[in-house]
Amino acid sequence: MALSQVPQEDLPIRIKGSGDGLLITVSERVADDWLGELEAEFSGKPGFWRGGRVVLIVGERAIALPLLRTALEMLDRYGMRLWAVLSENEDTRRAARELGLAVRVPGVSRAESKLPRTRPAVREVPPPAKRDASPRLFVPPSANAPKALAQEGPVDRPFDRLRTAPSTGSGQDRTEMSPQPNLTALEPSEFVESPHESTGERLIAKLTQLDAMADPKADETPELQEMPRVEPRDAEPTADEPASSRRGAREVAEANVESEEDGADQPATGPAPALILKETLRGGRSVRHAGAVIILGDVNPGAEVKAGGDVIVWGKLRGLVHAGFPNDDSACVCALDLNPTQLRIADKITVPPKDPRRQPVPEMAVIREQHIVAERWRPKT
Amino acid sequence: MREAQGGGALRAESLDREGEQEPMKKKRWQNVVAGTIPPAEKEKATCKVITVTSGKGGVGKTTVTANLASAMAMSGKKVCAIDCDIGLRNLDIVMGLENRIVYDIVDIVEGRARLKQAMIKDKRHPTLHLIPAAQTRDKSAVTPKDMVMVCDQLREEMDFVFLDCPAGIENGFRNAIAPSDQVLIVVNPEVSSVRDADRIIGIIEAEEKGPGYLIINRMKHEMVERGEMLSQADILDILAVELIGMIPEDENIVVSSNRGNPIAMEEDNGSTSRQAFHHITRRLCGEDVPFLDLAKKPGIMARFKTWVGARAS
Repeated sequence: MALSQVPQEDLPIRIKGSGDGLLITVSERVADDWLGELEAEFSGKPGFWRGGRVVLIVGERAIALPLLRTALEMLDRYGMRLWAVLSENEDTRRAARELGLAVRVPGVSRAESKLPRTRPAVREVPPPAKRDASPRLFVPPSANAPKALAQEGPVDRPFDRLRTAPSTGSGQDRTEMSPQPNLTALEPSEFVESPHESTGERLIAKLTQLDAMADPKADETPELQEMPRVEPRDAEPTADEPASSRRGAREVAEANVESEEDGADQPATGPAPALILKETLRGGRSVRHAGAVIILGDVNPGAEVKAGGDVIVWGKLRGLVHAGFPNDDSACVCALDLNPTQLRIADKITVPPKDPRRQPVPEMAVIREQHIVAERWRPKT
Repeated sequence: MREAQGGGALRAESLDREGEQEPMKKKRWQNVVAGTIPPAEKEKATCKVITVTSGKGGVGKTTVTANLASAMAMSGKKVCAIDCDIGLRNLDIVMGLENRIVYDIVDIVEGRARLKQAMIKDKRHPTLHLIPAAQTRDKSAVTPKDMVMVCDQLREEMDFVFLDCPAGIENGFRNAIAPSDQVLIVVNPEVSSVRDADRIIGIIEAEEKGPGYLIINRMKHEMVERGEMLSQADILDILAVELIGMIPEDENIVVSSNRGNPIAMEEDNGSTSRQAFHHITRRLCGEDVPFLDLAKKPGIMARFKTWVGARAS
């Protein structure tokens, strides 16, 4: 019998949907092979779980680092990302921290994270508020899930975003970038419009998928180096492009188009599609995407762009940009006028040099020898 | 009065601006002109509800609101100013009407008073009215729907309604932009003000109240020439909205605010700031008025008059 069809209170392993992702609760009654049971459940419907974030709640159970790593890999194989482990056990928390996982989730109360739960687990689905920008990256485990999806309307296909500019229709959700539950996405992407509509209502401390945790051992803000401006190096041979997020958007788009028909079977790895925005980002806007981001317009100071891949701004880049999150050193940031408040690639941060009044020149910022440098664009003759 | 309005309005299109497209023209404030409205519709009152906002506090929203409302009333229009800064009201002080407050907007919204009872008529200019805010409540006392309701009632009798928005981007701001037809954004030529204004413009565009029109307040031309202050071009480079007015820094504004006599109400003594306010109201009515050259100081006689006027009373 599938996990989802058993009444929730009796389950040794409970899966509940929430705004922070899937909460997978493993009670102490479960034998040591809880991971195997969990895998058995997932393997029943492999494509069903894809694209979700997972919070693992284990109570007093001790989980050593190797086992936690195995769990992380297992979830990753099914397209889920484990991002937090809640436990009272100090060994488990230590293991989680070693792997860079969160050990506290502001949205999940301490009472909820303790075991056993007495009240029945309610399947919560975040209500679609007006202009609700928080994307639902998972589908609540329910036998009715396919029906629910059918009522949602056309699934937002990543390729469509590349083809059409976000429309400015009046009836349409302003944050049309927020995807509907999308089983065909290769990788989850978040579009968080901060807060045109959510001041005071959102949990400010919510860890989103594309936020980096600060180093718990550091005592002060990191020192920021200025980014040197350099002349471009001679062209390097581009014969073998690594299969990374630098693949052309068109190729990726085609890959997506093909895979739509297959439905749930997706390759486990592959670059996320690129996002094109044909508008100026004003201060306060935040765009986050797992793939590359292309902006036809300016990025004003106060706006931020966080991308898993490259960031290309056809305009003035004056806001905050973070490319290659979390650790893709090969990502680049291009702009017609590269003047961000702060520029980050992978885990390096830099500030632009303070030139008094310079003519804007197209530049590309990349990591060379462990430092971020800005290369002037020079036409190749 | 309406005939005068029709006669005074100038051309509906501007011939000296380049790169215009037809759809854009329709939205420009210059086109809100009696001349473009067919005669049958002239009878129907088309009221404009204008919100004056900024994001950052202290840039001059209340001063601008008071002066624009006064200048508009002086040209014969029926105007109502509404203070949306509930809890920290000061539009009434700047307009010199604080002693006459009996009811306020929260009383209207909560049903304790009718609109006409709470609306204060200015004795100096009978077409100027004020609906004050409540001082003992806060911004949660009113919802956007309430504001829309109040403004809808006002639309039947007024030509212009000015809403003085509080600083910030929370409920107070949302309340003030809910009923608006047009948004004026006041900005000081300094980086933090421009940053906040950018955010506000983004929100306004997202709420489909855009585009806003920009008023640059407290310009100091000498500092701009020395390169110490953001210029009009720098500000427009970031904000990319249309400029509707530039008001120079003027000590007299402080003096008149303290006295409760908005500078726009004073006689024409050549003061540039007073002129700037009147020009803005003319642009709001659709006239194409060239911008004042702030570099030119008012003539020696005008400055003497201002000085004497300030000292006399």
